[in-house]
Amino acid sequence: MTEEMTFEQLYAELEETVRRLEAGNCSLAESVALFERSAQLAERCNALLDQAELRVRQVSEGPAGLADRPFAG
Amino acid sequence: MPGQNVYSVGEITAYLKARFAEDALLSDVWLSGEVSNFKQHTSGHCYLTLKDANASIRAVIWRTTAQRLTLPRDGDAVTAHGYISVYEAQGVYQLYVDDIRAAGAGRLWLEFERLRGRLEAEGLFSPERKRPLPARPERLGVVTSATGAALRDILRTLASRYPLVDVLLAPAVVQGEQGPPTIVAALALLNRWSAEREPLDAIILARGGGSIEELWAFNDERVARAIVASAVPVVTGVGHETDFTIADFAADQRAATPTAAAALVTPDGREIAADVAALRSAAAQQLAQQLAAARQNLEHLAHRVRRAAPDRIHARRQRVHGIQLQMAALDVNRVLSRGYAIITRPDGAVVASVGQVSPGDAIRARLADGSFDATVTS
Repeated sequence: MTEEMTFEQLYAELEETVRRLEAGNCSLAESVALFERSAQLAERCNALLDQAELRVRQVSEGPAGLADRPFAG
Repeated sequence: MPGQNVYSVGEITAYLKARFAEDALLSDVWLSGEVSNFKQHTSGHCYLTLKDANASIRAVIWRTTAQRLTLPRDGDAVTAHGYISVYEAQGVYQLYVDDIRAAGAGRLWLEFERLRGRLEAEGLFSPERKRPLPARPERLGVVTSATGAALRDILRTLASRYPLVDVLLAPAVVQGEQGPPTIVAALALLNRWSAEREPLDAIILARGGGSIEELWAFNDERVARAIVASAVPVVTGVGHETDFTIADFAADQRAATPTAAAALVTPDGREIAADVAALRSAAAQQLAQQLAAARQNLEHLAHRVRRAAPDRIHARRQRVHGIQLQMAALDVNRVLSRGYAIITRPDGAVVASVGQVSPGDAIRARLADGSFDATVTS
């Protein structure tokens, strides 16, 4: 379920998860679940950082309105 | 002399110096003239004379200023900026230079200063207008030449620092007459894209290094106003470290070069990886702490159970003791010791009623400290 999340979303949830863990008012079972989730999120964050390739598009405005196409450089 | 004050040379020189200092024109002045007697001292300070057909003025360029300026040579026509003050030891006034340019560039520079002053007075450059840049942008706009070195530098920097970012390029002409209108159009296009399609976190407006004339498109009032009007924060990276343009002043943030601009709007991917690792270990540590606390609770409970058990045994023991005491109270010997006796027949049966014996029967009386035999007589 982390597959289609953006890096920003992953990172935000990771921060939130750790914050909840640190609040310290969770049961042990909840904490274990939160910890597992945080590990999963961190894993996915790292994977995205490692695999990312810069995507560049050129925007223009033609008769049909705004348009974009890949920019090759 | 009678009735008049007499001043020392030092006093009158200090007075003159003070008069120079309070004069608005003398404290911020542009002069044009020809350089002569230019000399750079071993200390690094430069001394020269500026002159025209009718007059001359001495000028000083301090070492730190000289390091960042292109120094003139004798005979150069220049425009110099600085303040005029009195050098007390020699009793001369001189220009303390903070900027000096070839005469042509000086004209452009005057134009630049005039525009800068006007837009600044209008509040276009005020710090309150500056918007913060996102820490981790999702989407960036870039306005520069599609074929320039600036774009290559920007894309290379983005790819190496933060390849997660999505880049939208709106090409513009970055020098000459065509420059300003195309830059304005590109900024407007990216703003429309941000409003109608996908939000942009920041726009990089950039150009590689060049002469002051080549960078002039970025000293255009239309460009400055388009930057201020942009709903998306704009970061400029124009020319080199020492080049400041009107666009730089109007921007939300100025970077020294295109590469620096790209670095300014993106986090370092390695730092983010470190942040992720830190969060992850914070989570692990938190869980470990909670586990340790739970374990400690358990141990505490176990300890209480162990301590509670002997208490209960003690209570039982006391109850047993109580019963023993009660039983002791019921002990026959105690009754006997109070003067009672137990009478038994020879067969051992206890005599509890007079009907159980007849005169002449042998009986045995048991007392607390022993027994004796007797005979029933009546």
